Amino acid sequence: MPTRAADSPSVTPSAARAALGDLVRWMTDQGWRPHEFQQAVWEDHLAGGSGLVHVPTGAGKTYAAYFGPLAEMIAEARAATDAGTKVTGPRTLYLTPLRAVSRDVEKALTRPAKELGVKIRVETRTGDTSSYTRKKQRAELPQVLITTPESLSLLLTYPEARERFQGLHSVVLDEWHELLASKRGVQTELAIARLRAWLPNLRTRALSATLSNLDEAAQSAVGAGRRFTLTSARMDRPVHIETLIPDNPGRFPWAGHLGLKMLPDVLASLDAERSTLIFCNTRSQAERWFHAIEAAKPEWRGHMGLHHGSIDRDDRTRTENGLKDGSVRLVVATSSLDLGVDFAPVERVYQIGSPKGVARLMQRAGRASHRPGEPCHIVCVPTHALELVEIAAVRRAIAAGEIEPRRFDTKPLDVLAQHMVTCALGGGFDADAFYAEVRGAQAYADLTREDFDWTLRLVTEGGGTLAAYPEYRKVTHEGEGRHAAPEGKPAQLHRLNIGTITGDATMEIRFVGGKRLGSIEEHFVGKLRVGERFVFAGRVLRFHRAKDLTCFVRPATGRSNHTPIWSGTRLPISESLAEGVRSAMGSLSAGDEAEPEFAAAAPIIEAQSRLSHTPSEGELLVESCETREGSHLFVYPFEGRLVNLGIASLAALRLGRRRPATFTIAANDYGFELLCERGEDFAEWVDEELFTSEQLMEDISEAVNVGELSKRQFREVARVSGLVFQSYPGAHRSMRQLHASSSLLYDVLTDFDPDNLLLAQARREVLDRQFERSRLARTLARLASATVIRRAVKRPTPLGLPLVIERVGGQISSETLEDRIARATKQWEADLRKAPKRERTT
Amino acid sequence: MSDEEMAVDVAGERIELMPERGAHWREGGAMLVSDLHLGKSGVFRAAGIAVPDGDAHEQLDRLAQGLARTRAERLIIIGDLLHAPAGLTPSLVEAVAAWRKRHTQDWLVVPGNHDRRLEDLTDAWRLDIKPEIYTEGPFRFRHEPAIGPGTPTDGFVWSGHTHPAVRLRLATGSVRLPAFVIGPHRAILPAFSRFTGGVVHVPEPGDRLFAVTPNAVIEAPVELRA
Repeated sequence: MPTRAADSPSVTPSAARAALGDLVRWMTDQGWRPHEFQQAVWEDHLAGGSGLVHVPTGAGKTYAAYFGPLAEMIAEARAATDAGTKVTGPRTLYLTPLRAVSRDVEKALTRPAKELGVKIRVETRTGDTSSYTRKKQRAELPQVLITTPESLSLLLTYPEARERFQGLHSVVLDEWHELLASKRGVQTELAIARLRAWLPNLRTRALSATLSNLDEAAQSAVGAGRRFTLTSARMDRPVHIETLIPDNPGRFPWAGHLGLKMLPDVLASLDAERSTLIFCNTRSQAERWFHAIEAAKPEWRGHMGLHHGSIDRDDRTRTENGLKDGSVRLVVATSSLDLGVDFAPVERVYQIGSPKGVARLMQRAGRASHRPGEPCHIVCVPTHALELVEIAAVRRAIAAGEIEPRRFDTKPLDVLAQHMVTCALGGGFDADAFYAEVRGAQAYADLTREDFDWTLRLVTEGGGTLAAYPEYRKVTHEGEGRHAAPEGKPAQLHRLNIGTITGDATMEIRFVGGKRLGSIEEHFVGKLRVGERFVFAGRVLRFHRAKDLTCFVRPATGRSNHTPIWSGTRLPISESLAEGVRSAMGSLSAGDEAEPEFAAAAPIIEAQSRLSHTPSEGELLVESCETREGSHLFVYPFEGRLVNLGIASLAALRLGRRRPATFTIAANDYGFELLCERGEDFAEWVDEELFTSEQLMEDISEAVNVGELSKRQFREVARVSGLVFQSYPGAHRSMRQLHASSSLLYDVLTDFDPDNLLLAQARREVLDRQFERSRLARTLARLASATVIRRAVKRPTPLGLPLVIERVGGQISSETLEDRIARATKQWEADLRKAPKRERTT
Repeated sequence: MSDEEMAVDVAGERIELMPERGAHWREGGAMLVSDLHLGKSGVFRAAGIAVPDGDAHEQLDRLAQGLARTRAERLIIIGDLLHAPAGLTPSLVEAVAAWRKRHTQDWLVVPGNHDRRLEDLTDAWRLDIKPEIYTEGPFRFRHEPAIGPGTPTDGFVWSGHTHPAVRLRLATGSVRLPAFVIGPHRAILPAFSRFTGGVVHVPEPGDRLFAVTPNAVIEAPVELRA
């Protein structure tokens, strides 16, 4: 196996090995003993291997991946010094999912060589990098480039890209498990496939946390059909889960609340002297908890921090650093702190609300004092009674080793379309060779030539099914399969909009004439009245005005319960956890008290059993009930909110076929509710036929179409494939005529190009993501063979009430729009007649 | 289909609001439309955004259907017949010209803010270009509804420009539909093009809103408006 990088002939295996020896000595001098797994990775790298390293956080995986390439760089630098020459160009690419890479990575990668007296240029390049540094980097990349998938793709759009990456020999993929399951991961795969086509000996090392499908993860890191080495370290630390059990769980708030009822218990258990991390599931939950703790313990204010994705990067960094140097001892955070380099370990970790998944809770628990071998301890704070059951289920799943796999995006054509434009700009490509190159990325290993050609037509001709549009020219075919892209307005738009991260339109939030606080969703700002108070970044603010894309605020005093709700932050419970919950429910109804949470959950379960029934494994509970609102049908598959919603849509469609009706749908992690007009009891109609897998895809697609979900999903597809843009270059005026919402485009495509593969992709993504398609199919099979238990109840039961409270879902109707308007009007008139005393306000 | 129209009294004239997104003024023998934005998809393609063609053909078909049903002899276009010059491709110019040969009605165009280079099409499309404020019978036609200082306030004004829409709350879901706005002194037509966004209309005193559903025009009840 060749051990030398393509462009560094001066590195001999023995020189690299000598440099590695120096690095090991350096490590020992720091008081660290090289782990066996680290040595295995270094050997594998020097032997020309690629692969994946799977170890818990804080075990030294960064140096495991980095020292192999670094040893070669040191050897090369020494040889250059001896020869009186200078090393130029990149050698190692360090990719991280963190959009704003903290200085720590750069420091960690700079230190060893520096202390060995060898000069290695280590630099970061992200969206935040100054234009001066970028320009310098464009001229010559540093030896070690730390960057994000987006910045890497951007580098690939420049015509000199190939030349500029000459000499690169190693790629490190940090936190690969985070990128994997997303389009960012796919984008990364494509970018590396590009580099690999230029540099056949390129070696890739991915770093990942616990997954159950490590082989797949490794394959996608090294490329389709290539050999890889899996390195694991047996350093797993036992996880201790403790639950703060409420005094009176029977009077627990049900749902839709953020669990602040548990605040006194949490305050009593907090220790101001010990560094503590409190994880919340959503940004608004974090805001509320931070605000509430601060109000209850004003003396802690100086030592508290709030950390979530919408808070200004500088403030977040300050919090992280404070945690490190001890000036901040209590941080309320969201998953924004799940990611991240080995930031300082804390002494105590709390989880507010549902753990959502087994791996997720393990990872969070792992934040508690990193000391190999020592158990990690996490305190769970349930926000409603059924979360007690979830916590117990996670404990059991960890004991049984049931950890979730990461699912992959396959063949997203929107990402491919974007990458095609990137490569066409970055030196162009030959269609046949490019097809082979793209299939080298694991995500596209089975991409058909047909789909490839369709995507190529999309970017060259505009994707018209029959006619090519002469006015369209993004990528041009220069004959004999050679494709390239001209510079100009489309190229400029492409560079500005590279990437796969789509968010809701956000506005910057800042003090009048001053400091930036972070970003906030536009629709929240749209609803604010001037002078209205709300909580953001842990402060009470008063809305002053909105101008362009900035929301100006002034500091306010007092308290406010108004917290922005950020969309897309509600994660369903995972498949492993859902299974655990079903099993735990069964144990509970059978009187099991083995877990500490069970005794606390018992009153709720008894109430459920008394009023209706508590389903055990193998049973499907169906409740029906009449209220003033209408006829409710409650079904509890216990399969996570998304799958429950999918089944609800399917059931509504199928029931509606048997008898026309309009259903309002609500779903949560446990079950779903279908609400229809009074007097229409559908409980008897819930049978195995309702859950048949026959016609599943057709039916769900129809239900999905009616629900307009794919239209929403199309936003992302349209954005990634370059049909709509998030960012328009400065001159707003000339761009105004290009404004079109993705939903409008969706309609246009549906009308005039119904076979467009991007529409098909949006539908597939809805099924995969919104409903977790494969999980949905498995669930239907389970439900079709379940024993259906029907109960007519007087009012919503403990299981059903959260659904009534949280009714937020969509609507599935087999009636025409005209009928629905007429019906809604009639309902209004009836309501007005019934309540003649109520004043009508206009 | 004609029973799905909605007849309203506007300044003493009977006007039928059509699900095709136009209005029929029987007394004047005219169908009123606005905001066709022809060539919009071409403008997108010219900027490298792959939007399919076909919006123009769909509009021409819908126009033909409306004209055939109402037997109107004239079409009054209240502005924004075109989107932007970049979208005015030879094939589009030719397609409309061919359609105009088959459909003999007169096209009266009140220019809108998007209608640059309208004069170039006068012959090919047989356009009768009117001034920015065009008066006929009891009506004034002007593209932008805002009545500024110095504008004569006598006469009822028909306009377009804002692409009005109405949001209706149905059970928990809500739908947004293009809408006709009929007030005591002015009316605003929905955009004829389906490839247009819309602004939810904030009613002024006396405004009635009529939602256009796929098959009918329905007065939007105040209680259901979001």
